[in-house]
Amino acid sequence: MLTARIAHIIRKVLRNFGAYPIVHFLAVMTIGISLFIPSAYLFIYFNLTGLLTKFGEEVHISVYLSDFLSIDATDALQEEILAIKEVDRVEYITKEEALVYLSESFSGQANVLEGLEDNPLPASVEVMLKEEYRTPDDVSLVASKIERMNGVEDVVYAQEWLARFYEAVKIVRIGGIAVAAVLSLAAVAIVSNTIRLIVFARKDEIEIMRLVGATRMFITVPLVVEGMIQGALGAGLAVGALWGLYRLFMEHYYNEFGLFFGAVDITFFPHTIILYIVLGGVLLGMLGGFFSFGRSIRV
Amino acid sequence: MDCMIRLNHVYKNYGMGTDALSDVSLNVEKGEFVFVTGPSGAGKTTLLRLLFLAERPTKGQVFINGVDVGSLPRRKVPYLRRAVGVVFQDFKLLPSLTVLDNVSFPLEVMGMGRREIIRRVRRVLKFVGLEDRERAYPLELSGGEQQRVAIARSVVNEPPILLADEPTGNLDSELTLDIIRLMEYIHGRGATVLMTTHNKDIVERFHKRVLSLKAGRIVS
Repeated sequence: MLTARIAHIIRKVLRNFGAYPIVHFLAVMTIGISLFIPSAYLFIYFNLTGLLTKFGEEVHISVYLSDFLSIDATDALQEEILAIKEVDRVEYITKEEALVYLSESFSGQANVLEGLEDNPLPASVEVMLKEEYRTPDDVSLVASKIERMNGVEDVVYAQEWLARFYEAVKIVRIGGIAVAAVLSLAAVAIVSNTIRLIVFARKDEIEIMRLVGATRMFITVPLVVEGMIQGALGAGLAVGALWGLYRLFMEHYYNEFGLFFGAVDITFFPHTIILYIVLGGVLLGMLGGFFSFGRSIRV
Repeated sequence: MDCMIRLNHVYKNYGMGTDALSDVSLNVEKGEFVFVTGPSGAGKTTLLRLLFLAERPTKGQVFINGVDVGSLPRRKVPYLRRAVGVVFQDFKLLPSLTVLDNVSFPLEVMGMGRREIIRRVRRVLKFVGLEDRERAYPLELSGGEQQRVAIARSVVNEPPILLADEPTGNLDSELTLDIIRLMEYIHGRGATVLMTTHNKDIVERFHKRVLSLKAGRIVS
């Protein structure tokens, strides 16, 4: 009895894919499109936040030291800076290293620095903050703390750039939530219309099954299984299309826009995200199956 | 004799003023063949819909094979439906499935194994004279053949009751006789048959019990 039921479900699902190719094609396409849009958005959001995190690493405070500071005092100062809770790490740059960096940035015009007898550049400590403290307020707070320390000549950080960067991060985060909400609503609308389409196409079949004495379970299970397969195929389609576009972009356009992206790699979704998208599709299809019974006319 | 179908002061109102059925009482014994006649809108189809449980009466009781339909829990309805085969004027076949798959429906619903289903479907297709059309699709068949497929579907699980709602309404007179003879044959094998028609020739030609409906009431 049970094996007959399972065999029946498998047979029925296969038969229905053959019997209603257009309905299934449309359902798969619709689920595909409704998942493609949020997936594409998620992809952009992921990479954009990756880009911003990368830029965030540029947030640093340059602390210029007095020329008369002893090595011990320099070490002590670094320890003192590291003790501030917002600080992630520090990097000491000697006067000589500073000169090397400067001449490197003037490479090709090395003669600019030739006339110098003494090295006019001060030694410095580059202070990097922890990720969660890379806000304009925190940076200026840390800067003012360091300013008061002994042996510190000057404290410099890109205040204006930082403020703009922070605004950009905020817009991406808040805008991200808003766009995600709108896209989710659109996806729900598309899916509910697909369900209506499926219901309409299956109305006669469901009516006849009820007429010959099919139980609710008997009608619903194959519909739900079909919905789940449609959902998985639709999700596969969405991820596949996105991956195709990603490859196309990487091979033909990435280099042209390379300057804009800096050294940031544009990466595709990790496997777990792909799995979630597929599960999302399966869930959508499942709901479609349930609803097509619920909305069918009661014979 | 056992009473197969019994209606006890049944009213049906679709919420639009006049009753579709009004104070209808009747008994159909086991193994009877009954014609239900009357003009369009007399309530013939409503009567049948009550009997295959597509509708419930607004008032009164309907008994099928001794079971009071009104007090039957909704989840038990499918099981009672398996005791009633139904044939429609428009056949209600699924065009995207083969004859074999269309006729299989009532047996699949019962959870029967595939091999047994095929055996029984072939037997019933032979019975209606379509043994060589099992792979055909409904739209490849003539109207008479489609109706025979529908009849095969309604009797494949050998229900004790067969209901037919104007089964010959779409067929010419030659085919009509074929279909009625087939119904008679099914009746001869023990089924209780209730068939609606407004074709007077049929009613006069086959001497059966006749129930006449007019404006929702039984007039004879």
